[in-house]
Amino acid sequence: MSSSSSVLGRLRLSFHRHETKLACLLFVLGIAIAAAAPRFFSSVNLALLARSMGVLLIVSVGMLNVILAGGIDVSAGAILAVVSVVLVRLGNHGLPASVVLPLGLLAGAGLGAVNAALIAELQIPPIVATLGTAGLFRGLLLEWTQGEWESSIPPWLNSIGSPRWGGLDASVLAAALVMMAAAWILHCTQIGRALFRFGDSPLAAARTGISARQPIYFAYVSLGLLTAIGAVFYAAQLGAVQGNAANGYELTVIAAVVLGGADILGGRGSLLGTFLGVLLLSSLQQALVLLHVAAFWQNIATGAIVLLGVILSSAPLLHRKLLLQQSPSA
Amino acid sequence: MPPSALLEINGIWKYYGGTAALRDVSASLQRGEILALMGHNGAGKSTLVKILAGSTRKDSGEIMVEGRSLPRGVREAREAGIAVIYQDLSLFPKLTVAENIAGEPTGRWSYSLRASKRAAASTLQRVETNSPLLACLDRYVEELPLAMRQRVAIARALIYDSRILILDEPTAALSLQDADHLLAYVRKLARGGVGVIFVSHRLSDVRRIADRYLILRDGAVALSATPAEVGGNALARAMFGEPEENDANEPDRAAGLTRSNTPQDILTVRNGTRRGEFNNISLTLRAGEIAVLTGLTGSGRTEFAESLVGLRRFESGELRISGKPLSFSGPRSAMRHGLVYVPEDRLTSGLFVRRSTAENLVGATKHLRARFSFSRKETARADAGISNFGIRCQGAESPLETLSGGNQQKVLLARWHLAAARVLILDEPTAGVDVSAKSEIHKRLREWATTGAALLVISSETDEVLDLADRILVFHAGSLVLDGPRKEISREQLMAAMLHGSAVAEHAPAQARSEA
Repeated sequence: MSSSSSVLGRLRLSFHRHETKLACLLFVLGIAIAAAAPRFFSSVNLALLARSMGVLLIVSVGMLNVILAGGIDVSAGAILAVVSVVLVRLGNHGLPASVVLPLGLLAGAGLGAVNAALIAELQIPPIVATLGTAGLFRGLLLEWTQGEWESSIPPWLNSIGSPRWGGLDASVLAAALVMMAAAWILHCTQIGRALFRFGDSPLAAARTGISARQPIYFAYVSLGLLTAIGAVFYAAQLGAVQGNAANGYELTVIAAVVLGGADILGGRGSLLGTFLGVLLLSSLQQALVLLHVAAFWQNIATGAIVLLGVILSSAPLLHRKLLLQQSPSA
Repeated sequence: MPPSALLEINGIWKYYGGTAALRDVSASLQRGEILALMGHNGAGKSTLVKILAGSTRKDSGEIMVEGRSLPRGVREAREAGIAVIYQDLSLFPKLTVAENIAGEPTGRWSYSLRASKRAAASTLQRVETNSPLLACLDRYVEELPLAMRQRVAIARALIYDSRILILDEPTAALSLQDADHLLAYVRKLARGGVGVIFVSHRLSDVRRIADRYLILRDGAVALSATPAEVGGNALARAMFGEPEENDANEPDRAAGLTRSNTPQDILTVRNGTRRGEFNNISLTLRAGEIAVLTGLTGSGRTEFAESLVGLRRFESGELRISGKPLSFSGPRSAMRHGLVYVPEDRLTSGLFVRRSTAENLVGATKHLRARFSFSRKETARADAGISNFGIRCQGAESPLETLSGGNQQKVLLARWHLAAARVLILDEPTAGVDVSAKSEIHKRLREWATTGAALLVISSETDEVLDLADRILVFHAGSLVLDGPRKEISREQLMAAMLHGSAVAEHAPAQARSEA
């Protein structure tokens, strides 16, 4: 096999057709934005866009793991809030960053493990399990904070969120590192491949010797951990947190991943697609803010673009299924 | 002590719920031997395969591979050298061909897409010359036609140097040419020392390839012999069971039938054809008659039944109900003409298992309206159904899932009885129900027939065919090869027709006996 054809093959594999379509959609949106709000492409605004994308991208990569494994997690927003408040409260009590940060990450991974245990051990459907834990996590958090704001954050957390490097902050760097690590795990490790297999066909996965629990734990714990990493930058950028923080955030995350071409039934999805989904949602939001569009129109536009993206991705599948039905199977 | 066999199975038992799927099964497999594993649907073949593959646990017994006890687990079985090609293939449709073939988990933590592609390519080159799959290693399996998917599954099983290869109905979905190729390849592997267990319904394939037969019936070993030791007839006997002695009293029932003089044709099919499934089928169902349609899996009988009610369409041919030419767009329109199809898988496509017994019983009648509760009339009808069909439940309000399998099946039959179906097509109505429920169901079906309904029962169980039928219809490879009154057909003729497609048995004397 010549090396050029294998390179082409790999290109084709990583550049699944859906991503091409998303890129086109993004291009069209870019032209529209350039016409309506040329300020969007100023370096200041682009840096702002990158900063606003960091947290969403980090959490979305975790959600991609879960969706690849055929699951869903609607408690991600609650986990984000819990970890944010833990970080800020403990920091404000004077604990050093070297203690608070590991504790925060541990809390995120632990909450993810709770979800995984409910799903893997008790066989509760993911949507039900995480709906339950979402209420539980959020309620316990509100009980703990008594609904009060943490209106100041420790200085070390403040410095994490402050812009440097030409308007970019540490969240952009972290998102890039997370993407690279995820690419390696999803494509070059057994546990990463097992996510695809388990989500595609749990029966076939069991018959090839894949554990029925390991992929679930990996997916939900990694989402918890990545949500905790996201929470660090979320709190740092906002400068204040409260128990109701990130309410409904999980829906934006799921929208980004699904827009990125992930199959909600599992087994299919890519990091590149997720990146493009996040980029598309964030740019749209940013542009609408620049254009002073009312908030409810932002919701409408976001909803419409998610539907459009999903229709684009499912159309060829439908087409193919029809073709297969018509042709007599061999 | 002689060298240990490649595979030794000792006294395996397996229960599902209260029923034994495998009873004390013992067998052995030598290096280079091709063992044909045969038996009817539900005989225990698949259970045995799953236990060997490590995906199902045995309840007791022992499995030894080259003298060493086989540890539990799929990966453990694989590491012991056992590879399985499942009938449903068990592929990953959303992954590429290369990943399906070579992406199996190994003990290592790392994974390389490039290495698995290389491994897939080299396996394909080893398995067949010029494999068409080599050109589509990067394509997704869901895009491939079935025959290509089968090749992917075969390559996946052969990628490691397996010592024991288990093929579950490998040729069922293949064209003759592809099947030939596969058989030749399996023989080549066996010559190289691989032990092969070949699960198949196709007697012609089995005859060509097997060194030894292992036949299961009702979960127990019915026959284990070499082809030299047994004739074709003994093979069929072992699969279908010994003839029972009650053949003699059968004509009584047939005589009872003739009392309803001038049987009236209700449903007539002329030259029904669907390419690749069944060809030129002409038959008639008459009022008051139970016709039992049988044939091996893949003979086209279910496809034909589905075509009658519009789940599939005849490509050519004609369907008449009471003389009127009709065609149905689906079960709903068939129901309007009193034609009802009860599929084999009652739990998923027949019943609402979480709803009450009463709701399931009246679920097909037009009188059910959305109200807060049942009308008195509906409650009365449900109660009538429960008593008429002898359904054992804790009241009409008990959820259906609390009933036994046999009683669930009776609910399904009672439903259509209440809906006054005139033509009833039942696919394996007694599959998975216990013996007493089975005889009770048979009794109800006969009563039903005497009220003037026409019944078409699909069954793969020879005893049930001979027991229940007024008329016997046999499908073989998409053709209707036998159609006649029960009293004119012997067990031997029936089995010959099912296995070989010939109505004439290889041995004539049997026919004479049944005529007597």
